[in-house]
Amino acid sequence: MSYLPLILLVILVLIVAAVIVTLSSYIGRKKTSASKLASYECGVPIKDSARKNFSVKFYLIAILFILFDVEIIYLYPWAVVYGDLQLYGAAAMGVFFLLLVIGFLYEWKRGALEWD
Amino acid sequence: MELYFFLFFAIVAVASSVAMILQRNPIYCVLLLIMVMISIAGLYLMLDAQFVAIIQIVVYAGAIMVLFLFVIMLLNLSREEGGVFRIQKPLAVLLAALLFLPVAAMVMSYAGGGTTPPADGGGAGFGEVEQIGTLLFTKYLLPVEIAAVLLLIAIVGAVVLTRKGTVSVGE
Amino acid sequence: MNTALPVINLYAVMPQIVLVSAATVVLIVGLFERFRKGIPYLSLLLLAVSGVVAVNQLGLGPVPFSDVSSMMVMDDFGLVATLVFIAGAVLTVLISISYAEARSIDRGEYYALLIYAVSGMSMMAASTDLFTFFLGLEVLSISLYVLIGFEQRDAGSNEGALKYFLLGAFASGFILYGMALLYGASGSTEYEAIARTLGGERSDAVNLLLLGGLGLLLVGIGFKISMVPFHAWTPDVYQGAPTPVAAFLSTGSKAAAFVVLIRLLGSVFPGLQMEWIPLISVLAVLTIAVGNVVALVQTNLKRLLAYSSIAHAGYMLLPLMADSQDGSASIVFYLIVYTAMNLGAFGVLAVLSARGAPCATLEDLAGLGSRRPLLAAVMAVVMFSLAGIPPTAGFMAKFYLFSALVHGGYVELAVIGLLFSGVSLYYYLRVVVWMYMRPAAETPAEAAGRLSYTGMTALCLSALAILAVGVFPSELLQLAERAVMTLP
Repeated sequence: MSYLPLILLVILVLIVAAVIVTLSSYIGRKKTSASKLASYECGVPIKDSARKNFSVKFYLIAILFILFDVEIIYLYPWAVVYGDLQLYGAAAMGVFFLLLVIGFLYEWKRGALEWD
Repeated sequence: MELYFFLFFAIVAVASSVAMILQRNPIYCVLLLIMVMISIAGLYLMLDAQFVAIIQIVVYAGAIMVLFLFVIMLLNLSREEGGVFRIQKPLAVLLAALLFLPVAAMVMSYAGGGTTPPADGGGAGFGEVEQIGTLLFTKYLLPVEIAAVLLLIAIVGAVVLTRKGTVSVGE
Repeated sequence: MNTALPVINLYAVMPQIVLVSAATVVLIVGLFERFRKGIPYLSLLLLAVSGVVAVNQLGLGPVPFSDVSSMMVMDDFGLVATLVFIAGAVLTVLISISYAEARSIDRGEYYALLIYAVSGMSMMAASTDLFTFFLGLEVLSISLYVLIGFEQRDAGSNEGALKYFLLGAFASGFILYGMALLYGASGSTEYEAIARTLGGERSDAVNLLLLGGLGLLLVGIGFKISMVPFHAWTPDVYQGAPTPVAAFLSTGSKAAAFVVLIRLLGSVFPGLQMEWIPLISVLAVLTIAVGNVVALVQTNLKRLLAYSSIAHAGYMLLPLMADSQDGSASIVFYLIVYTAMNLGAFGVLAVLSARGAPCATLEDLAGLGSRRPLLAAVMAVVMFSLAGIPPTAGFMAKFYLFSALVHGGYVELAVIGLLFSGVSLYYYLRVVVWMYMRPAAETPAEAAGRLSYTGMTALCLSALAILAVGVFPSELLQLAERAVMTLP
């Protein structure tokens, strides 16, 4: 049961969230008007639906993010056992890292990180 | 106690996946899928796979779901349009049920039979990051390095396929 | 905690290391515009270097990667397979040069991905563990998804890439599921351990898991070799992909999957022979039948070659049943010959397509015999070889394959195979008839002028090789036999 603190935290978060939402819906005053019900009450008037085709660039950024995110799956355990593996571990991660740095430089040079 | 936790996570996982399939708004589908991922992470935790549980949340519930959202926005899917897959739908249900049966039979028969413990698992510290790190960089060194090659190719592929270029439709 | 460090034997994976480095070098050099023209030649050079490395390691016996786990092993089987892949890649690069320039897809990435794909195939061939096999497969598959979709401005190329990607991802899922079941049954992902579990006493439950695992693996691999009923993607993808990529796809990736199949069925799953032999024999006959019959009505050459490649996959499945060194050697021999033949056939199309409109249909070939005699001669040799007419290599390949089958006691399967191979004469010879006996159209599809030297060199080389092997097959057969000798 070493997860007891974690479970307590989760329960606490749920309670706090529930309490805040319930309280505000009970205590808060509700005076609705057309502009108050708009998505951005004090922003620019809405012109159009937000549902538009996003540029493929967002997708490219997201997929590059995932690829480097996957990298941490390997980096994290490596960092934990680094003390044991010493030079061997450094070499092993070095090869791994080299390949990904090449990938990074590649996308940089190809302009995948630039918006226009 | 463990049973209750298992039931909790399992029911949440199954319920959210069913809801995800029935849900017609793709954004809600993604949110429900995140629920599935988190409850599966809970199940991993119960199996002493702490590292996998964390990765499940960081990579799947985090990064991959962001990608899903982007894809939905990219394609501008609003609501699923019914009627395209009229015959396919019941057929898919039938086939899935047919596929489920042998797998279920396999698992059921296995529950009673002798199980083979993993050759390099079990014991103290099982599933902890330290053990995984040691295994990854000794026994599974080669797959780790190949994974780096795979990631590099994926980067190249993503950049190549999304570079500017107008597609001419038609033969 | 003190960890015992493994003893790593880099020598064991040298061909793979060289291939990955070669691809990476090509990728980096390709970033600089001023080297653009030189990239294909650099790729050829580096492929040649990898080939030399692999040749040097031939006969040095099985060397595992490390002392704690083998993962990959350097043996003659893997090395010969790697050499076949490299040769295929060299021919692909040669026929790509003019095609890629004409379509302005002559970028560093194109050649880099091609070499990455070869490294993936080489990893698959050398794997002795499900892990490395799967990773090799993914290295190959992801490179191919991108290569198929490389002609970004072409809708067909995009369509082909999407189809191959969706179905390929699905097939990978099947393979992973199968691997999970095998791991559950044996507690390890090593081929050897799985074979041990199969060899020992096993309960019904374990047996069921092993069967399920094997079945799911066969589905995934069946997809890669376009075995019926997992073949539906083949014609669409070949038609859409850039022609040199289709050539590579139909030879290299198929050969890699076959090499894995030989290793798996031959040395891991002999214990389940009673179960998989009937299954494979039915599927092989179906594959041969569907491929040959549907090919009869094709007028698009790429689709025709796609169905023909399905049929050839069916032939190559047959000797697996014989479960003998002869059988495996005949598959390796067939794979080598098939690589030369199919690259030649697609190569003719690629070289023609580089000059103007894509050459795709039988009509485009009309009058080729008088217009471009050398190219037509190459195509004729390739078609005769695919049909299995002596004195071409295709005949010798079919001869060894069916005789291994007869020796294994599967006479009826050999007869079925021969009958359908008779059917195939019709559509292969039809291509030759169109080339020599039909007058050319008013305006030929391709513009006049010289064809690419490099492409013609590759085509002449493969045609000569086909004829040479057809007349003197023993050298190549010895190589194939030597390769399968190292299999346990």
